[in-house]
Amino acid sequence: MNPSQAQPGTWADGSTSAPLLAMHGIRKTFGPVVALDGVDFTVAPRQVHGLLGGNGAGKTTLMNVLYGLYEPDAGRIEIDGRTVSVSSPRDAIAAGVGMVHQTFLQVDPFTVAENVVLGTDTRGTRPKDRIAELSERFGLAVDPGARVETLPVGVRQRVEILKALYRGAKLLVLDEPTTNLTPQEVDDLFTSMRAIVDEGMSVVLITHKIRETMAVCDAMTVMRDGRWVTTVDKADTSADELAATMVGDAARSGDAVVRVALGEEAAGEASLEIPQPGRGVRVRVSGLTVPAPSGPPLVDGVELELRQGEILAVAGVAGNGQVELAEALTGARPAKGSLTLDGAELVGRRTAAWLDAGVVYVPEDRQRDGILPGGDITENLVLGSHRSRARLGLIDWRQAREQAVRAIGEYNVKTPSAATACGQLSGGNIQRVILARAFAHDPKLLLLHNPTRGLDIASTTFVYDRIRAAAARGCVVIVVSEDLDEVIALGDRVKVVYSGRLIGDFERGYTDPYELGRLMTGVAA
Amino acid sequence: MTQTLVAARPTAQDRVRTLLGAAIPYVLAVIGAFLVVAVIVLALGHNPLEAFRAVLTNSFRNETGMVQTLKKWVPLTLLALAFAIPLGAGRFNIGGEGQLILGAVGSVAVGITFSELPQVVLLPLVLISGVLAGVVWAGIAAWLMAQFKINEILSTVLLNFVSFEVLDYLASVVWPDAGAGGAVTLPIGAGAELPTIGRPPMHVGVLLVLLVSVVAAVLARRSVGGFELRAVGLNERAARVHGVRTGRVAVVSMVVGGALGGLAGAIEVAGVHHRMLEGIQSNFLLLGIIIGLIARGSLTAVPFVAFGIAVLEVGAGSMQRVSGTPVETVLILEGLILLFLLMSDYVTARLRVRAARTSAKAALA
Repeated sequence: MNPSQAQPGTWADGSTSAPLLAMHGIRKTFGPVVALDGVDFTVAPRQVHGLLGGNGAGKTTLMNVLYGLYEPDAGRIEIDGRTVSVSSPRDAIAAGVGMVHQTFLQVDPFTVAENVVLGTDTRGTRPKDRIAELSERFGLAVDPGARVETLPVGVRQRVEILKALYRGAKLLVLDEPTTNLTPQEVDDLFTSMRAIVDEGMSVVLITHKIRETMAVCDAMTVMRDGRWVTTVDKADTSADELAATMVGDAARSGDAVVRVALGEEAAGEASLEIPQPGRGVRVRVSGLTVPAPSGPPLVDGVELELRQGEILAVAGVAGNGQVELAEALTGARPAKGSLTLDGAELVGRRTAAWLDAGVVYVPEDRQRDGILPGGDITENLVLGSHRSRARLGLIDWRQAREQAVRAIGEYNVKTPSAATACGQLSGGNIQRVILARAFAHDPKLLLLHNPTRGLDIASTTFVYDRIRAAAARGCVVIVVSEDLDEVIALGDRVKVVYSGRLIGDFERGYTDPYELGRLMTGVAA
Repeated sequence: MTQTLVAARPTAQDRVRTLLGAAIPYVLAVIGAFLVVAVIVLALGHNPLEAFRAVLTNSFRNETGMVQTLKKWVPLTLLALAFAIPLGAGRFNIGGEGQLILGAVGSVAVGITFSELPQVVLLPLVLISGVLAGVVWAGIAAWLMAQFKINEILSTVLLNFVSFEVLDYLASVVWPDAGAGGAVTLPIGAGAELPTIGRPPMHVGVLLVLLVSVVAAVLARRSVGGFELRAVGLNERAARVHGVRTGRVAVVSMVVGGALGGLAGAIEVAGVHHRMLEGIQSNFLLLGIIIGLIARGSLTAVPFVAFGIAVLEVGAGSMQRVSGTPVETVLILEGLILLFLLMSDYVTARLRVRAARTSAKAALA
């Protein structure tokens, strides 16, 4: 069956299917930035349509235009062949569009049912029956009476989908829905998506992972730099071809590790030839604990032995103590227990002493923890080494500026000058500044938390290359990430953080995503 | 591999352009404030042009005016720095007048008790004890902030009230000057007075504060401490993650502010009044805050803004004499300059957005 064609009997003419959704020439600018440049996008009925592209390609912006969150500067939207004007989500819902964003808009103390019906007219209806029926029909298992604040991310996402279906959506848009889901939950989600399509609706799956579109989509549209690139049926394409289309002219890394990390292919398909880490243990962690003001510790008795040049990847669902673990392992937060680097005990010493010893932390929240947004690039590069580089208490800013100019060149930071405020750079360029600073410290233990979140493909590849280059020089690297593909591709060893504890231990090549998923949700703990 | 290197700093031309762009809000704010005050002066039935000429020229007409202005400039600069330095770390020191009063207390205590000592010993002691008293006074607020997370705005303001009582007690009970009308202490010893230069005499505290301003500005730009102060102010979390002891930076910034407030009190005693009296703090705290805010926290800009405000303050009396306009009009003027400056920030931001939009539309067409 060619899924892009209409189902028999659904359409009068049968041969050429009228699209469910047609967006024509959508253009959207934010100030001088052209986010969408005349994009055409068409979704057939009964189709899972992948909207594929790197970060910054304009996928989410396009769908926000459809959902009435942004008003386009130019362009036309047709649903079921009729031109519609969408100036608010209310209009979009009335036109049959539902959207599930990456961050859920839910009232935490309310129950599932209350959240689903919130804002709708419930007179003369029996919402609970309807919710139960929808959840049964589409395999979206939820307890309508449960309060949403008690539910894990995967279930809260089902609540969002139910909200859209309850409002009569015939086109459901899911924005990067697999972020933070375990492989089991991803499978369930894909099954539900197929069930939704079987009932005659369509789904748009926004993703940057080719593997996901190949697994569940009937057709995919690739976007790049705010432009439509191509729309293809799954049957007519391959992962390789999609990857080439997505990246465009940018140089592609032919490296299997990067391809797996980017979600272009599964780890099983790629042969990962990795230099083995050295034998000498450089980092020893024992009983590392961060007590909580009340309740169980935020980080609980972490034990690690990391060899020279070893990359430890830590998987986990967000909110399981990743930030606290990362900060405790890098001295940014006081902890109990022991951490030695090349035999020297660091726990109990000041953050600056950890830095001097070669422990470098690349935090998850770049704007909040990583940079001085109002400070220029030079100042941001100096931060952390400002004491060691000072003479008689004075910083040599001329030398710092010269070094900044070299770092900007070496790390390909796109900026008008070294005096540009760091907060004005794009996410990828901010991360390049942070990495330039991190590697200027000549790290012996480097910890990166979600190092590629929100980065475009070129920046992501750049980060992976740098991480592996550091490991090759003998640096111990810890990558804490919620992206399972990244974890599996980068880690010489993989562990899982669950409720502040480190569990599981997988050597490279012996990592089973489903086993990781069970550990991540505490099922096998 | 050849790399295209970006500029370390913007070109001289760009920097001039940025500087001019930054000057526009100031010019607009000053013009706007003068226009509104002109209306007020007219409404009060006086001649605004005459009033403004009196305000602006008094400092420059003769040496007396300039010396008066510089004497006023000293406490204004010090209290503005006492406000701006903690502000760099995102802390608000609203206790400048309390720190000034305690500085004065420290100075008169030493200046009266050891009044017989020679100048070479006594004068440094007087200044140092004034500074130390300011440090202690701000240190109380800083300690409460660091130890118990007590908001420094509240504690510094409340300590101001305490300082008024301390002054009153010392001036009317401990060292009262029986011959004086109000709460005034005995004079300090001759060796405690700051020497003067020139004619009319100007105390050398002016030179000392000039030196302090230069050192403060250089340290803020170049030193490790200045950088850490800026880092804490820009993003306290990021600073902490990168090894800056943010709590200590905040405490030190408050204490340095207190030291400068104390120095202001010491100079008022040793250079101007030669005793302590009720009202010695004048309205320096309020003006110091206005100066610090107009300077946008830049320690380099503070002495210049302070000079401008000192000109207005000294001119106020002459304005009242010449045109009959009440002196308080000058405070309205100063407040309006700050208000218009804040407003023009908003307006320029809006204009920038509009310009970007227009150019985007032009690119489309």
